[in-house]
Amino acid sequence: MRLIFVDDEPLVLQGLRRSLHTMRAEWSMEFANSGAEALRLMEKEPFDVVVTDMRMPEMDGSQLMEEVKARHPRTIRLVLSGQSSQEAMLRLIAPSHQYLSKPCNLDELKERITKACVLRDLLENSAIKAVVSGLATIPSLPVIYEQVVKELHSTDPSVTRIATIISHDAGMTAKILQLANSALLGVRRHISNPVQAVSLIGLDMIRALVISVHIFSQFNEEQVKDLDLPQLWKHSLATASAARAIAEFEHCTKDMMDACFTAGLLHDIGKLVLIGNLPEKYKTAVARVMNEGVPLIDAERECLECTHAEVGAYLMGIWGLPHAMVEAAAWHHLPSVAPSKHFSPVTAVHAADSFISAGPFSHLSREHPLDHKHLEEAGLADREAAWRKVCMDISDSLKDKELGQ
Amino acid sequence: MGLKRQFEIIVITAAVGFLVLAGFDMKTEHTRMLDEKRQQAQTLTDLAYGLIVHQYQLEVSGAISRAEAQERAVTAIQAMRYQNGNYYWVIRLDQPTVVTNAARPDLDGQDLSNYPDPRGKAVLAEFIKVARQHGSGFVSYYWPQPGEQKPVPKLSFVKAFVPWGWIVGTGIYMDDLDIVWRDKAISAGLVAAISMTVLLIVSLSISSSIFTRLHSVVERMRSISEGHGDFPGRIQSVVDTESVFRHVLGGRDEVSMLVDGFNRMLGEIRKRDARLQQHERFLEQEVHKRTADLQSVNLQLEKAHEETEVFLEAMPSFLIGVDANGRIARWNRAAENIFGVSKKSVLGRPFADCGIKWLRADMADEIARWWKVETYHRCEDASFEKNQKPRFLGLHIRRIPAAIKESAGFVVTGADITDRKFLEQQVNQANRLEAVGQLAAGIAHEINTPTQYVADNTTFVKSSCEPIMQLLVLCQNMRHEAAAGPISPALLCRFDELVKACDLPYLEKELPNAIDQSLEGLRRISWIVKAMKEFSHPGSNEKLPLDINRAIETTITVARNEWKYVADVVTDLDPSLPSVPCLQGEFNQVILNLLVNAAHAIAGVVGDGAKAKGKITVATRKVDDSVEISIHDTGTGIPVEIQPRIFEPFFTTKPVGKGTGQGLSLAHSTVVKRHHGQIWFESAVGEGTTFHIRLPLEAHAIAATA
Repeated sequence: MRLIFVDDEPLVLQGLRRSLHTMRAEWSMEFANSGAEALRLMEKEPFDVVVTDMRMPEMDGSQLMEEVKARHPRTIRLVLSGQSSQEAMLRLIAPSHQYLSKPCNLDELKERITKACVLRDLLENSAIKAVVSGLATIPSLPVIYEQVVKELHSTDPSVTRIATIISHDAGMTAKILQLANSALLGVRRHISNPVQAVSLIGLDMIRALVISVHIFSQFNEEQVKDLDLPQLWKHSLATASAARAIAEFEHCTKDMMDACFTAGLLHDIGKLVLIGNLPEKYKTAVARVMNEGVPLIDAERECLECTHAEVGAYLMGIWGLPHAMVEAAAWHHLPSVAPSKHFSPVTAVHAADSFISAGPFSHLSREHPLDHKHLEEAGLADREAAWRKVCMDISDSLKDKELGQ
Repeated sequence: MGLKRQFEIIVITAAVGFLVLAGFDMKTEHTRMLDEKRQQAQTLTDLAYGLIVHQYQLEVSGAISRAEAQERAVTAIQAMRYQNGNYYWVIRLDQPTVVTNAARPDLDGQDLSNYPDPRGKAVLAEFIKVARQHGSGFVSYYWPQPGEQKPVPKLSFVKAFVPWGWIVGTGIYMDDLDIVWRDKAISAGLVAAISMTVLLIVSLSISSSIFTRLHSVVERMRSISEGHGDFPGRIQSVVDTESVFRHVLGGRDEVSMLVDGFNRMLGEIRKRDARLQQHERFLEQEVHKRTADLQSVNLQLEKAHEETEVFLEAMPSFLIGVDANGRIARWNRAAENIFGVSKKSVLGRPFADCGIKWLRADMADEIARWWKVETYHRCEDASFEKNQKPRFLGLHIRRIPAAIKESAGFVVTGADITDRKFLEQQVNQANRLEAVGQLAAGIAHEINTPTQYVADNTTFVKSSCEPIMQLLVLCQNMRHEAAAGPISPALLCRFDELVKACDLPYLEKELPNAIDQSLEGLRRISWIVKAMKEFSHPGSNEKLPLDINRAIETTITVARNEWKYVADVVTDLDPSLPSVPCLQGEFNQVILNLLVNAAHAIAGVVGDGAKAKGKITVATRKVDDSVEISIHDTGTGIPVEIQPRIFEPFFTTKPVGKGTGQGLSLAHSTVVKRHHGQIWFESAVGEGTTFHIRLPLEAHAIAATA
């Protein structure tokens, strides 16, 4: 893997070079003293990751990021800066994937880089890779987007209401979690609960981000009208609720339940990315599913050379979302492939997706067979019936609620 | 008596007169007609008489005999007729016997002495009597018309012809005359009656038209004179008759003109009245208004007075009025509160004895000075004791001009500024902290960067330590083995492995660097922390000798993050510069503001470091009795049009949120007011700006207050 570090302070680069000397076997590293030099080096040979300082003379970090995004869209862009102002954060939201704050300890730096790249190879289609790393936002349903904007513009906006709206939408949740998990906020733990993320970021910041920086966006309804996005939205929410219910059934901690919910909400985020960016190709894949009964995953692979699971996981990986989310998205169809062999959000999301897809909240495909191998490996083979009931209850209550409205 | 009645009397009188005249006229006519008849009867009688005389002359002449003559005469008379068969008769003079009667021959020769008329008159005797007495004369009597039986009034003229003893006569029947006269009278009466009627109608209608209108005029005038406010409408000047008359007469009568005139007058009066009323209303309104104005002015005055009192009572400053005799005339609520002395207890007492415990030893002299103040005097350092604690006052003393009050005293206003003094100190401190806060992000960056590489290097050192220690231990083992005999190949092999594993040449080369750079990082951190500490040292409220050069270097250090991306800072500091009495904190603030401004000005030229960096030059030197500091930048320069304003508070050209517009204003007040120095600048757009500060070496006599 090739990395390039950019900083105007040579001592910082030397320090990094020395401390990362032990990684030399895995990483091929270059150190550039300025943005211009970094771009020269990247021109010669592509890099997988760029880590840059923010304030530099001549070309600063955000300018460099914009350049890299334009010239080398597949490169994962990380910021490592001693700057901590809100203004800097706003400027960085769009062009960079993750933000690390100086002084950053070496282990965290390594972990961040490793995790951002861990699914790098999962997604083979480099064109899609470029699309995903170029993404600044995941579009939301116009209705939901308008709700947030309206609430933010209201005379008395409430953090709780905003958080509730955001926590029901995959696109917004993903973006909020990206921000909350960046070092800009000075929080050094993984945040998987969007409500917590919203209150951490704060209402004023959210307002500035939504209204000025446009961290949220909405689908062009005309373009995607055949893809039944509202159903996908319901499916995601139902899966999220069901995954949490399963975690609750398993007497998991509150954090785990939240993680399961969010992982469930985000498990199909790859669909949003593909629909938002390659709607025509995706429609072809959907047509294959509808007309020929081809499983969605296969149809996607056939038409797009990648699956929504891979795309979603890749996106969340480079955005620095908690690893459980990334895994849950990546392996929600076949958790036995995942490295974890015990109950985790992958397990809950997989089961929830499987049971929910059998009910009224399926999206595109009703065929999501349960991965019995994974359940056996995790020692949960006897849970199927109970979980099915839990999920059906959720599905029914959501259906009732929907009908009641 | 009304004019109408008078007019009626005139008309009636005229009518009566007319009637009388007509009657008289008729009477005259009757008499004339009678006379005419008499004349006629006389003439006719004379005619017959002449005939007799002719026959008599014939007798006298002897042509004929008396009898013949008489015969001839009678025949002739009998034949004579006139006017519808009227006739003559002859009677005897001596006796009432008829000689001849042409109408009634049957009476000829008869004695008619017993023949009276219906009124008993012996007609023939009467004839004879008149003829005998006067020779001739008229006799009126009743005699039937020829062929009639009924006697009717008759007037006859008789004339005696003495030679023959005859009386000849003829008569007019009066009823003939009366009939004619009656006819005449009737037609005359008719004419008179018609004329009268016409006269009456005309005069009455005229009078009616005149008097109706006159009456209206009168009524209206009465109504007006009786003061019935409103005017009735116009008088109808054209009644029908009048219009007829006008038409007939082809003009307007005086009444019409009177009415018109009256109407005009009425109109005029009405107009005038309206004007008068208007005027009256206007006057009334004006009076009301003036009265109201006066009242409101009065009220306002009263209110103003009350307000003034309220203001005086409400104002947070105390107000003490002292009259010419030095006695207290005013003492408002604030004074009560601030000094804890009630108004009641203090009014009228000498000011010197008002119960304020002045803390200034020379306060009596100060107060004495107030009497010499012409208009205004300020006393900033008056303190007094309240509740065993000193309080500070800012006093304003104003003389009351003699013109306003006979007794020209003075007014002392002021406030307890103890809290303000305390606040000022706090604000001062807060300002410094704010400056520190503004720098905080930059300073954090300045610290975070070296911390990053210190940590990285230390990590490297730590990770290197383990293989080195292993090597050292191995070396130690090898040393032991070497002491015992040759070193085992296993150890040598192990040594080579370790050396290779830990990349010894790399360690050898990098470890010293890592340690050096860590130390350098730590030095930088401690340097900036120290500078920060020095910079933000609260300092003292007094001016203390300050090493200007050092203070400048400190400030350049703390502000490094503000300028390092856009400029290099070059210092040209005079090492022999003497210490300058300064308020350290405030001085640092000034230098910081100027440095940051310089950096911003250069950023305006070089952008965010896209072009070559600019240059900031800071120089110090001694000039006469002062020290001059100049800060030059190669920035955008200050446009001429805003140059006069840059020291104004809140004036800023930076975008909202970037600058408060306070920096240069604070710098100015710090240098000029607090240090009695000077600050000025030279600037050229496109070339840059140089700010100069000159601080006096001798501390100014007046101690700066915090």
